[in-house]
Order: sequence, then C-alpha cells, then structure tokens
Amino acid sequence: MTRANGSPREEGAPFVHPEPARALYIHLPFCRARCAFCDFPVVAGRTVHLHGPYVDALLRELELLFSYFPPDPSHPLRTLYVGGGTPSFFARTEWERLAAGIERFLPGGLASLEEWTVEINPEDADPELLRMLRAFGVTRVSIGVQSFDDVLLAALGRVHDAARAVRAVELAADLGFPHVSVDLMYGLPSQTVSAWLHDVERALELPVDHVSAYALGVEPGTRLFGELRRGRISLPEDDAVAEMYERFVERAAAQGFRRYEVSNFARLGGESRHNLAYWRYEPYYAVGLGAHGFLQGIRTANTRHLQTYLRRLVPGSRADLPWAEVRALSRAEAVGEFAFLGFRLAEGVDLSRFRRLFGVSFFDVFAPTLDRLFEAGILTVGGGHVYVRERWVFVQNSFLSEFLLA
Amino acid sequence: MARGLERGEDGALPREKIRNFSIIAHIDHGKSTLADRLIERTGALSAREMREQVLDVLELERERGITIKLNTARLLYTARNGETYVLNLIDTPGHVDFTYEVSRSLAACEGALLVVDATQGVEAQTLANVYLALEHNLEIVPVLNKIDLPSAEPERVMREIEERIGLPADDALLVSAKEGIGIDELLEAIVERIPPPEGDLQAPLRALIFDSYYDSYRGAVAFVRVFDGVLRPGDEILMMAAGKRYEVQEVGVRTPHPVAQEALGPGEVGYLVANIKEIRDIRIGDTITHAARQADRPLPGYRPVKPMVFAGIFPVDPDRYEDLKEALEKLALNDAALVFEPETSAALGFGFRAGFLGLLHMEVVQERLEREYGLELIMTAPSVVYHVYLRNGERLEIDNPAKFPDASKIEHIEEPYVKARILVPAEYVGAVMDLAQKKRGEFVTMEYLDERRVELTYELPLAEIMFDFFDLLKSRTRGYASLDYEFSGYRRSELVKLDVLIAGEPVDALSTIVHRNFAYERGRKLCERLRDIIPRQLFEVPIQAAIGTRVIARETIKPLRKNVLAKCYGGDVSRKKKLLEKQKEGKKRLKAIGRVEVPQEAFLAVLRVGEDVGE
Repeated sequence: MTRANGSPREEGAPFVHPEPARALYIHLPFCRARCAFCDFPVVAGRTVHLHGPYVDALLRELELLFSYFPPDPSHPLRTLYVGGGTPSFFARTEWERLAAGIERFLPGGLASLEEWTVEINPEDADPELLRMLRAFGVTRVSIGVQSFDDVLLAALGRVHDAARAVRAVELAADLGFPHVSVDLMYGLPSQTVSAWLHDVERALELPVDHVSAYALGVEPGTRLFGELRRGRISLPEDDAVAEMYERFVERAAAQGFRRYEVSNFARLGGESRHNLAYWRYEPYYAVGLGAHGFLQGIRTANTRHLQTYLRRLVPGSRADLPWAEVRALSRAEAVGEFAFLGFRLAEGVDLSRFRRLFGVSFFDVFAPTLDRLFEAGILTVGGGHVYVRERWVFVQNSFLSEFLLA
Repeated sequence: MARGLERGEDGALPREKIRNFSIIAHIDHGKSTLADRLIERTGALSAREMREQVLDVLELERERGITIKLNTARLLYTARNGETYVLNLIDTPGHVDFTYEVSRSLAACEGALLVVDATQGVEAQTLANVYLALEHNLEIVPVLNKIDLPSAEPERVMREIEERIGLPADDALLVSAKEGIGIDELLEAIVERIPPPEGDLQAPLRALIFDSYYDSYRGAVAFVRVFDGVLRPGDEILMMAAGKRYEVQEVGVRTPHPVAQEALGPGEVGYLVANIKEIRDIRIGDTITHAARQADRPLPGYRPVKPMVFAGIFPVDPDRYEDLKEALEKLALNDAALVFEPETSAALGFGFRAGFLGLLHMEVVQERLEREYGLELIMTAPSVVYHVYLRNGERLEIDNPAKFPDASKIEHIEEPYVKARILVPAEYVGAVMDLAQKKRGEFVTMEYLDERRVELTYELPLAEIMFDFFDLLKSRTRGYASLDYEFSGYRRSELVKLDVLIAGEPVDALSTIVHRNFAYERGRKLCERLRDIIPRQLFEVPIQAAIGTRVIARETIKPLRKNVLAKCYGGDVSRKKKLLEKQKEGKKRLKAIGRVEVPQEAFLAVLRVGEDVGE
C-alpha cells in the first residue's frame, strides 16, 4: 500500500508519513474481571478457551498487516509493547506460542528488540511467569499497582492488595528485568491529597526506574460512572487533583524521576521508548482487539468485538484486517496531531522533525497562536523544540485545541 | 360574489350584510383553534387546505401559541334566516408588546368575541384588550371555550365576566373549539349581536390601515378597513399621516387566500396593493383618502410606532457581520416596528443597536435570527430610552448605556414609566405589593374583582420590568399573577451608570443604568454572577463593578488548574482529539475580551442579578 504526498502548502492534501514503522503494539484483551474505571477493549471472565484461537488470529493479523505494510528491512522493529487487558493473565502455553509466532516475523529474532514491555498485574507476578517472560527477551515490565490503599484498590475492582504489589515489583527487580515501571492512579473516589502523597512515597522507594501516574478519568459506561451519577461515590475537586499532580511532580523529581510526558516519569534511561514513539509522531503497527495503528499517515482502529475479530481472521485466504475505522489523515489533521501529541512531552515539539515531515516551518503554520502563547509565557523554545512551560502542563488542553486546523 | 351576495353598481356591498369582528383571548385560551373552526365551518378553505391554526403565519408563533403577525379572513356564512353574510375575522396579536396594533385592529371592527378558557378565567392581558374594545364601543360576545374539559367551571367564569366587565352572563356562549361544540350558535350570534358597520358611500374616502405585510413580488401590502367612500384600482390615494401618494394597483379580500375585488366599499375589510416599496411606508393607524378628493380629517387614534426597548446584537463570529445585517434587513421587511443601526462595541466589535416594541418582540427577533438565519448572536441586556438633560441645556435621548455622557455633564435624567395592571389571587396581594415597592413601584389603585381576585395598578419604571419583574412576579405568586402595562410617561430618577471591568478592561457591553439606591447591591450581584458564568481561565481574572472611577464590588475568578487528558492509551489518539475538537467547538461560543474568554450568557447576566436584591 502506498500513498502520494500532497503539496506542502495544501491543508486538505493527504499526509503520507515517510518513516518506516519500528514499533509494534500487541493487545491481549483478557481479564479476570473488569475494573471499575475501565472502558478499554477487554474481555472479562473465564476465557481460557479463547486464548488459543486469539493467538492464531493475532498472528494471522500480523502476517496480513506486514504483507500490506512490509517492515523496512534496513529499519527493523525496535520496540514491542504487549498491553491489555491483562497480559499476565494470558494462558502461559499460549504465551509461548505467541512469542514463538512473533519471533518468526522478526528477522533478527526477539533478541533484536531494543525494548519489549509487558503489562503485568501484581496478582499474576509469580516467579514462574516472570522467568518465562525474561527468557523470551522481555526487557521491561509495567506493573499495574494503581494504589497502595487496599480500600481504594477494592473499590476500583482490583484483585491485588498493596503487599502483593510490593512483592511483585521486588520480584521483577530481583529477576533482572532491566526496566521496571509501576502505574499509579490519583484523583480516586474520596482520595485526599495526603493519602495520595503516602502512595507516592511508597512507590518512589521501590526498585523501579519508571512511574506512570494517571489522573482518574471517569468514562461513560464504566462502573464508576454509574456510581458517580447515582451519588454513591464522590471524586476530589479538580483543584485537589491538580494539587496531587503538582506535589507528585515535586516528590518524583526529588527522588530522581524526571517528568518526560504529562503522566510519565523516569530515571535517566528509564523512559519507555515505545510510548515515546506515539508522542513523537512515529508510525507504529498495532494488532489485537481494539488496537490502534498508525502507518503511512493512516490511522486505523480494530474492532472491539471479539467474535468479529476472530471471524475476520479465520485461517486461510478469506481473512481480512479487522479494521473498524480507517482514517487517512489530511496534512491539516496531521499537523495538529503532531502538535498536540508533541506538547505532551517535556521536550516538546521537535522543530526540525516537523519540517522534515511536513516541509514547512512549525512557526509558519502556527504563527499567531504561537506568538500569543509565547507572549503569555505558556510556551517557550529550547534545544530545537517548542515546549510547554512546567506551570502550564496540567492545563494544556486550554490552548492545545488552537493547534487543530482541520 | 358567490352565494347571492352582489356588489351594487356603486361597487359597495350591502352594509347590513357585513360583520367585522376580532377575537380577544389570552394565550392558550384557544383563539387559533376557534378561528380554524370558524373558517372550516363556513367553508372558506377546503378540508385539504385546512391546516391547524391557519391564521398564525410564522412557525415561531405556532410553536409558542402566540400571534405576532396579524391576518384577516373573510368568511361567507348563510344564516338560519336564509341570508348570506360576509364575516370579516380580524386577528389580533396576544401580547403586551403589541397593544397599539391590537387597538388599531379593534378600531376596524364593530364587535369582538371575548374567548375565555372555562377552566381558567380572565387574565390581565385579556382584560386590557377588553378595555380597549370597550373604548372602541365594540359589541362584546363572551365565549367560554374548552367546556368539554372536566375541569371547566363555566358558572364561576361567567360570574367573573359579569362582575368584572358587566356583560350579562346569560349571553355567554358555551363552546369547545377543539370538539366543534357550539360553533353554529356562535356564528348565529355574530350575525345577530354584532352590529353591521356604518359608513357614508358618498363621503370622501377614509380607510384605516390596521396591518401590513411584505410580499416579495408585490411590495408592501396594506390591510385596510373602509369607513367612508369606495376604494378602487387605479385610484390615486394619499396616506394622510405619512403624506405619501400612490396609485392603487389592486384591492381584494383574504379568504384567507387573496382574492381580487373590483372595489372595497364602506364597512369592508381587505388588502391594498399600490407599488409601495417598504413596509415602513405603511404606517399602522394611518388613514387613506383620495388624493383628488381628500377627507377633512383622518380617522382618530394614529400614533407613530416607537420602539421602547433597545439592545445590541453582535455576531459571535465577527466574520458574520454582513450575514447579520442581511438577516436584519430581511426581518425588517415584514416588521415595521423593528429598527436598527450599526453599533461598534469595544468589547464585542461590529454589530447593531436594535429597537423593539418590548421584550417579547426582542426575543422573537433573536430567535428568528438564530433559527432562520443560523446566526450565533450575543445580545446585550436591553435598555430603555433615557432622557438625559445636560448642564449646558441640551437634551439627549440615549438607548445605550455605553453612550451615556460623563456624569459631571449631566444635570438630571428621566426614565420611562409604565402603568402596570396586575391581576392576582387575593392571598398574594402582600407579596406583589412588596415586590412592586422594591422595584420602585408607585401604588395607584387596588380593586377586588371578586372575593378571590384583586387588580393592582402601579406606576413602575419600565427598566425594572425589563429586569426580572415578570419572573419574580410569577415566582412570588406561584404563576397565578398576570401582568399588563402601557407606557405612561417620563419621570425624573436618580440614576447612575454601572460599569463592569473584566481583568481591568472596561466592557462597554456590560454597562447598565441603575437607580443609585440599587447600585451597590446590583454591582455585587453582577460580579458574583459573572464569576459563576465565566469559565476559569489560565490566569486569575478580577471582575469589578464601578461607578465612574470608583470600584464598588469585586470578585475573582481563580485560575484553572486542571484541563488535561491524563492518558493516551495504547496509541489511541482519537479520544484526545475528540476532546480537543469539542473544546475548540465550545470556544466558538466564547467571545474574547482581552485575553479572557467570555460566554454569551454573560452579556445577559445583568438582567438576572436583580433576583434577590432586597429580598
């Protein structure tokens, strides 16, 4: 599949991403139970019988995708990210088939990957699983701790408790994963700033080089959404949530964790290379239920319906990519996306990269908006990037919409 | 004409066969349904042509159940005595803003049907129009409508009509327009009880203009009632108040379709086409006579239409100024009462200052601009016309607070007062008097209509009525009070200009004129309200109210601290993009004042701050 790029001055012209995709996302949607805040494509309950067919479908999808969008042999895949769902809940025999299957698509094998992340839930993190993943070549585990408050964990519908989470992290570190990350959530029902800071201290003293801290967003269709609407729970005010964030940024910095993206903090070298690709507007492959890919300037989203997914990827020649949405971006759309994704990063929007992708200067495209935001002291320039000053990171949506052209 | 009613050689219809009447009714009391029924029963429209509420023209009116634009229908009715009669139904608008138009329509009639909802009773607006009808010596036929409803109380309502208006209760007709009950009796009553028109066929022409509309092919069309003489195509006519001459191209009647006639004689009601370019050239209440043979004096009661309420209209999107201009021009084609001129606001940019008969008229115009022309508008709070007397002896008429002269130059100010008639159940009299007092009302009279209902009359500043008087009246009387008012004159008042500063910038569109005694309280409430309406911004935004350079109230909008999507999950950027697109869309409804983004509602906030002043 190839697309022709439009003239650099035409906003409505198609955007063709010139770079080869070097990141692959694989979605394993299965969970024991759906968490109270979750609206991701997951399949909860007893699903073990589906794991085998799912691996077949995944590998079939990967084969189709690579045939339509062949990887560049001179720029092989660099990062692999297996997210979910709960990848650690996936049947271990199927894990082995999956790893072997992926291996076949990588000319240099799994060992050639610079980063391979797998998401892990604390309750699954036994030595056997972690050793297996380590043996496959996984370099990084991201552990869904979320909180160290057992009451809140139960309220979120998490299976584990705080003690279990700590053991999981320590075990991963002991078993020699080069990178260990934990996920935390704040702005949780009835959570206070001081309760959050307690979580923060416990997280920062763990042997990890990366922390993701997400403010809870209550999405329609989730259990929390219903509880909130019926008045059963109450959420902290926005100002309190902002306070939680600001205090976290401070504490993390004091412990050597630098904020490199709105919600992501890392020690030097601990940044997730795979996730950086999203924000730096690099293309990526994605396979699995509900997975979102970005190739040659086309954004795709797979079906979120498991039966449809499996049916589309039947063995044999009738198989087809399980896309539910396909959007070929215009230049105007792409320019806007580049900006609002780039501004999530502490480093900001890469000016020379912008010119390389779009053939025009970032300053020319957004002159009036940039002037205003520079003058207001919200944006600034440094190191070939335009970035959001620290103070304005948490309110960035107030001005990022101005970068949408289309 | 059909069915044995012929014009004489003189061009006139036999006067004794004509009945001219209108329907007086409160909103919702079933006027339109009744009109439909009369048209249907007399066969003026075939069933196929019959639509619900044929006389109400505009969609908006239909939705609100109120008539704004007048219309007429000529019905042919063969009575039980075997004779055929011409019944001219002249529709009247049902709102306080249009009292003058109502009075002109009534002047074209000899009788009126007083339609009262048998489940409700008489309302203030109805009473006001009954008084108007009585002033014009109309024969009033009381009609109790909705008698089919279980909650109908015809005896009580008849007693009320008898006590209040002095009409014998026995004369009332019991009708259900919806069910078609009592319609034949009503048609008979129209023939029997409403007197035929008088008029002198030989006298110089005198015809009253009581309505007009704009037709894109024929120009402005006048509705007239001929009193004396005969009006024919080819006549050269003179509009006596406007002093303009035209040659008549066509005369005719509405059935309600237009049907051309060879002439219109004394007592007749019809339309007139005379190559009149603008609706403004047809003045409601003006008298038409022949240019060659002029009447000595015009028919009484003409008054130039004067807008009472002014407001700024600005497009949210400055690029749509021309669209707004075009839309206003189009609306004004058919609405002689709507006036406008360009206005420039430091805060809102280019727009128009428009004058309206009253608040309802203003709302109707706003809704039509938004709905029919797809415009997003910022309307500033409406203002009355102040008479400002300067120290140098000059007198200014000012309809825009932003244009008020410096306080040091002002000798004194006068504001318009109205005579307000409030009908209220007896138990709420105290609450209403208290409210009227707080709104600077001056008590005039109190009358018991019966043991339960009281009519209060107050002199009130029109500006207070525009604030929130009506809403408060309704809330204090659980919706039972009704209000009618008419302009009564200008009075001297202690008024000051209250300015608003947002982030230190004066916002001209938010300035208001208030009574000195209310200034502090209104300033405080206004700041509080703006603080609640204006969304939090990236920076702290102080909001101040000031008289001259003196700040009398201040509030602060704290800066926004959280507006970010925490997670971009697994490469899914669509959610974030949708959120930003929504925010971008939302911003279109905001007006940037300096670096503060202000929503449209803020400019009407000044209207809603009186709510609990003094309560």
